[in-house]
Amino acid sequence: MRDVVSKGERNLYGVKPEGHRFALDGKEDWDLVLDKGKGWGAQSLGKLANDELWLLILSMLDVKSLARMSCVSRVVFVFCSADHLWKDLALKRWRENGFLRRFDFLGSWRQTVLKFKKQLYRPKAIVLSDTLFRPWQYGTAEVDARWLRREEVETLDASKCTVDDFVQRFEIPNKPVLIHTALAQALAGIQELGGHPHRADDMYHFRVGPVNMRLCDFLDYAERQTEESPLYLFDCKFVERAWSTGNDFRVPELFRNTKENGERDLLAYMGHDRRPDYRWLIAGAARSGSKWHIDPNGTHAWNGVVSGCKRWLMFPPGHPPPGVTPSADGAEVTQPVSLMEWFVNFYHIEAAPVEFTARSGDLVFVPSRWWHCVLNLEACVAVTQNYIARSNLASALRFMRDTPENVSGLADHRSRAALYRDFREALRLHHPDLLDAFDDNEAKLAKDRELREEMHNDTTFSFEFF
Amino acid sequence: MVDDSGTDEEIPLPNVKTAILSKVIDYCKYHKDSPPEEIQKPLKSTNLVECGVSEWDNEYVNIEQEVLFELILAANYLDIKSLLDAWWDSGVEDGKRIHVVLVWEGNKDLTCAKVASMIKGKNTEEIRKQFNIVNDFTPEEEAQVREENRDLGGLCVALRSISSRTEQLEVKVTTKSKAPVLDTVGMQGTGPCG
Repeated sequence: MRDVVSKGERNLYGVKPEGHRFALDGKEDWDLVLDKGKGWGAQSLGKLANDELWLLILSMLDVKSLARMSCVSRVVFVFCSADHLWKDLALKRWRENGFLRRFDFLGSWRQTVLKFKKQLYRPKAIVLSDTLFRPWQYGTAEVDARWLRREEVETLDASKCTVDDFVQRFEIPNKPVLIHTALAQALAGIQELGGHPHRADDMYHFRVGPVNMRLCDFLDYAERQTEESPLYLFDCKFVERAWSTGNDFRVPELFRNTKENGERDLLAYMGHDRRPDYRWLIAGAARSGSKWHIDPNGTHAWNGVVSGCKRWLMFPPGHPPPGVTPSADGAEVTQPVSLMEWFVNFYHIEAAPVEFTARSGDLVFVPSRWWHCVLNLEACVAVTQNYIARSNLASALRFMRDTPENVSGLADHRSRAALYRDFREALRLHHPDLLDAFDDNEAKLAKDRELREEMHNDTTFSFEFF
Repeated sequence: MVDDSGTDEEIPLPNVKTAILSKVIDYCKYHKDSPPEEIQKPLKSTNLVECGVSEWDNEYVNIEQEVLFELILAANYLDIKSLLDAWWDSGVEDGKRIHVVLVWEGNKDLTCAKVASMIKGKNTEEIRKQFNIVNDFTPEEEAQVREENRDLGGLCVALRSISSRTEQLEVKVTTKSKAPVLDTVGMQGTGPCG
């Protein structure tokens, strides 16, 4: 017999938002509503009368205890079915093992951990709880057509564009651009992996949260999950993992260091092992994506969509989007828990200056220091690389020099703090002229500043004098 | 804790008994200078000391169940935000502010971990008894829930005993109602247990 409950409602178990009480009609409806306090034991746990406290208690249980607890009463069962509890337990297990030969996601984390395919029990009842409802709400919310209407971005055709053209028109003015048909050759190897999951060889395992798994297993999970914050495949060692023997991965022409192009990526001088993490294979489910952020270490980035399509929103440097608040030192960003929550609550507040959909084969240029977020409109595979070119060299060097505590992508604290020095060393060795130009300019700026301060002090003094 | 802040501002403490409040304050005083240890989750033992809890903390929650619930409730009733605001306004240095939050979270974690340790290691019937929870499943439902939540602790023996119990249930149920509600039970009898 087929499961008649829709994918969306499968993991909900009769949970409704608190406000649903106003929609209840008559005694029959009310009879379905379970008394939470009673279900937890009126004279004991029920007295806590707080969904978050109950979940906190359950979050401390191991698989066996949580499974036994699930059978205690109907209300307790519904709380024990909160899927994040099982997800945490699964991830904990993975962390201990570190490697997954096969990952068979059975539709919910609870089913996956307890290894049962068909849900047998569904309470014919209603549990009113915002805490239990909210993650489900954003985990299954549909992408609103109104979020896809605007198309605000300059575009380029890769076949008709030279590197110089691109640098002059976009990289130097620090302007985003969507480049069509740029990936055809460059990422053929990955296209193969993304397009034919069942042919993906057993040897390719990629990083997903704390564990490595096959791309096809991940994509299968991505199709079936209904989480607010689903797992994301995010692997900075993908080239080493999948292309250790072949040479299929080629940086797209516009960004490749060649004789004709010159050095497009100055960080390459630091050497593959010493530069901060810089390239990632990314895969994510529909409705997942990257929340609002600025790329690390003052870098530019390119992002190529291998399969699927992605919705991009961008705000210029120094202009964080609504609902997103960076801390004073720029180290942390406060924003909604999930991307969908941001879209539902903040998308309509201010039109993003740059906004567009990138499809398979497209390449996006993300200029340094721009705020951006990316929503996957379907399951997506993409490749991204961060780089420093001449156009952003000065601002990247300043970032490393002035805010070493915000440097990221290096494993240990010492090399993060030393990135400014190490990068300078590499430049000194390979491109001393660029470094000298930077130093000269900084010296000039410092002098100007001094002069201005002197003038300022003079006026203050004369003011006081009078 | 309130005294330490040196503020005269009144903080509303509805529904909190003095004895309970003084116990919360004991905890804050004890952890004034050393934040509580982080508790390892999921609990690997019913003995909290083996989960990273200090002897003092373990003794602190070694109390009657009823008092324990009041303690959790007290922490929840106290308007934490106004309490913290009062501290902050009184000029606590930055490092201390984080400490206050840690102590507060620690108190909640510790008391809830104590409850979790009372659940751990018990079977469903024993849990119901511990917390006086009424079983409101129908026999059909209970069989289904138990089937889904079969013990995966690697105890194949226990597994077999559960499935034989559900078989007995099946007999009972089918005599009551004619619907073959349990047609799928036992389907996964050969499933892995580990």
